[in-house]
Amino acid sequence: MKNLPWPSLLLLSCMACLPGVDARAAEFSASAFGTLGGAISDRGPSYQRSIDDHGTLMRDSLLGAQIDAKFNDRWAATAQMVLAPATDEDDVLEPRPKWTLLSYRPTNDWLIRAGRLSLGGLLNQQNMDVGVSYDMARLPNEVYLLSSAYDFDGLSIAKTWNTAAHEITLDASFGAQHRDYRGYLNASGRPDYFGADLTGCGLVLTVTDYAQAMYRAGWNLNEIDPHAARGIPETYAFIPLGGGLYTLGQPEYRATITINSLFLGARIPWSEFLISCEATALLIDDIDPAPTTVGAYINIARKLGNWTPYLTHARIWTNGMETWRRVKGATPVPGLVTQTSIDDLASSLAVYDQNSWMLGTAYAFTPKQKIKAEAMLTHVGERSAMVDGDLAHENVTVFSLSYNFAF
Amino acid sequence: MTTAGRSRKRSFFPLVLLLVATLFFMGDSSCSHAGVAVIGHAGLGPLDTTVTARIFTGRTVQVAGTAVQPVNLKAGNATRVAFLRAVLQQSDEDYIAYWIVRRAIGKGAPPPEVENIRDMIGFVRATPGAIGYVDDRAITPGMNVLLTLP
Repeated sequence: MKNLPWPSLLLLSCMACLPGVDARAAEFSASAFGTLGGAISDRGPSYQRSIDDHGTLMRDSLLGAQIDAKFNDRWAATAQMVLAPATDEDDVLEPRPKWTLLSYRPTNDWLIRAGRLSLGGLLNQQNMDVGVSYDMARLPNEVYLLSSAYDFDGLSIAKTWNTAAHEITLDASFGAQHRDYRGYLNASGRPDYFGADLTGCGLVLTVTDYAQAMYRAGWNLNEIDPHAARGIPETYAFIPLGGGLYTLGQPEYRATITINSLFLGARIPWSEFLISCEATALLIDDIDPAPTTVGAYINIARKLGNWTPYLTHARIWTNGMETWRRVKGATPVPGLVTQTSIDDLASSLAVYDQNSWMLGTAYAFTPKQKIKAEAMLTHVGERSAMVDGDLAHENVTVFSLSYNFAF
Repeated sequence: MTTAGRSRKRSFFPLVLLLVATLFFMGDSSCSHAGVAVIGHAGLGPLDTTVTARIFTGRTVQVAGTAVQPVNLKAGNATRVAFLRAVLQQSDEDYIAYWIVRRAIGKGAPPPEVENIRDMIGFVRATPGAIGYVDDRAITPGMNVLLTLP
């Protein structure tokens, strides 16, 4: 039950005690949304956790339900549950709360929300589970890989300024969460999960033009406290063996790590096209297992009646490739370090060197129902931790088809 | 990159570019509509299109200190389509899509909907702060008209 948002449930329980709130007079409305999505690749090793040449429904499928309660013109509450792949084991679906929040809007310009919130600065951060709300079959993993790291139990305070042409919103937030991280041990052939407690805060600035254009910049500061007795490895030790050979020694550990996340995004109408582009940078303390990472994509789409074809290009880079090469190149020493442990350690490093082209289309039966189809070609460079297994300097082609709805 | 990887990539891209070019340069269509009046509960003052747009998109919840309650006709209604076009420069489909996102990000639910003009007038009369819209031919003496749209 670790995923239940106890602080927000407590807040909901306190609603009846708030002055001016009559829970019996609340207006309730319910909605549901979901995606039934299949994906298959031309490669055996799993890509993005579950896509392989046998095909899967686990990568994109999701079911959600939401209840909104409006107590009066100032107080409201929202609860959103999703049934989606578990965050701490493969091939398992589990229900979990996505949003559970109280909102207080004292004036038109201020919005205060408390509970479980999604606080990151990506363009589709808050609506990424609602597939019908965007046209891409799958948001580019090169940028959205760590988006769930910004779901917090906490507080968000937003101030809005309206000009004749634009709406400007500044959102400040802080909170805490439990999160599971997944790595894959290539030699052992199994995933490796570890849990961590995160505390974080952030600022997100959003400018919209009341139509389709949106510009967003954000910053998040997260401190990660892993559930591990020794903490998290900080620096790997390489012991010379002579003749240019070396092996792995005991790494240095640290209790917590700090990540600064920067976001920059824009969605801009251009003639008959809609261009979306985003970049994110994860600036991590100087530790070997999770080096600084930068991801970006650009998407161009055009609405043609019910069809919205699009083309996307995405890239992700890390500066940890040299560390990965050194770990990978270590020499096993009988009784001390095995080849399996070297390969497992190398594959667990969060290093990425890949780019993807996605060509797809959405077909909207109604604004509440869409079918999406996409062909994605990913070129894996020297190494990408999104692939479970050794795949280097090769392409992965993925075909995806999904039905998305919201009612 | 291996030889197999290069050849797969080469064969993919001409098809990609052909499909993109074909789909992107196909034509599109649009449409136009007629007059709508924005009506409000007794006591509400005149509005302009900017404030009306903010009310019906959930961005404004109070006008001059009074809580407002927008109400829509059912999706697909011709008067609703004309209202959205005049105030938001949006199609009905885009407006529904807007509220799907807004609801999904925890910023409220779309305005309640009524079946027809008669229900709209009744809701606005009976609900303090209510703001709706009717075909301008349905205006009768005594209605509080807040804004007339071309």
